Amino acid sequence: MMSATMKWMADAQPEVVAGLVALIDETWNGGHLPPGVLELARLRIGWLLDTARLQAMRLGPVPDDFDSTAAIVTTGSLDDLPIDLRMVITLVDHFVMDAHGIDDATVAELAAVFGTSGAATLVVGMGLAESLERLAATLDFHPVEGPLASSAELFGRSL
Amino acid sequence: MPHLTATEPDDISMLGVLQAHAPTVAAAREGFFAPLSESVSAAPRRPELLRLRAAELTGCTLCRNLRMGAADVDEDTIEAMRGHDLAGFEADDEAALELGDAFCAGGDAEAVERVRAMLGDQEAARLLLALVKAVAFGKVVVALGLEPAQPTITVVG
Repeated sequence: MMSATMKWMADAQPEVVAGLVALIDETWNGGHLPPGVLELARLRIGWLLDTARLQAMRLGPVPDDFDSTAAIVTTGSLDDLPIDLRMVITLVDHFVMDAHGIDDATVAELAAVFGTSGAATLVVGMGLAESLERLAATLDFHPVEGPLASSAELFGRSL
Repeated sequence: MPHLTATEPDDISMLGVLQAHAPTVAAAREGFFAPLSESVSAAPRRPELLRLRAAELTGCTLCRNLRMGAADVDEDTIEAMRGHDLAGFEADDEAALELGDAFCAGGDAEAVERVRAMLGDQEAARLLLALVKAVAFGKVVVALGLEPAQPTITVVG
């Protein structure tokens, strides 16, 4: 029987999962970055990893034009992105494919746009996004579509 | 060299950098790390094997050269794991390492089911959460420029 849900993980390790959920929620929804920035990074990561298990869900509020921007980061030309988002996606690509290629100048540029809080949170968010995508692929997990009230729903949903 | 500095100039820890620039994220990170560390410390061997396996994916030299002393994983075992030579491993450890390979290489739900069947849900979830931490934060260490200039094997605990 395939592992089609993450609920069993929350049942088996409730304190650890609760801690992970709280970390995800603080990172995505703690006001450290403009709405949608981390979600775009997350979708790009799923596309780069060629797993794309979590593309249909939303971990936090996103702007009205999010879907069209999301289409660009997964299928379109990054030249069509505003410069701040292009910078984010360039960082994401480095993070996934060659994290050692991220240098002081890159982080400084991000901090100039999003503040050092935003830059640090984006790095943590990318790490979590990559791990969540890998976890979903390992479990053969396909969550239902739509926004989640909290990432706790990620561990409570099933097919 | 850190791309973001901590409050104390000599502090090159991930926690120090996050506390300086995103303190609520740093606190939330501790809220995840603490219960996981407590769970890992109860039976550290398999999580340690998986932590080192994840370091091969992330390329984190800090992670790769760190040794959790309490896990009692020797260098010959680590080299065998890195060489994917699982012949000398006990069945439980082999199943755990296959889970690590599945996580790092792109998914294999059968590896999850094997671990759940052999070791139980509590252990399977613990190992998966250890992998989530190791991959996520190994990459964070690299991306923030927090690897030591000259990594050496360091034993803690």
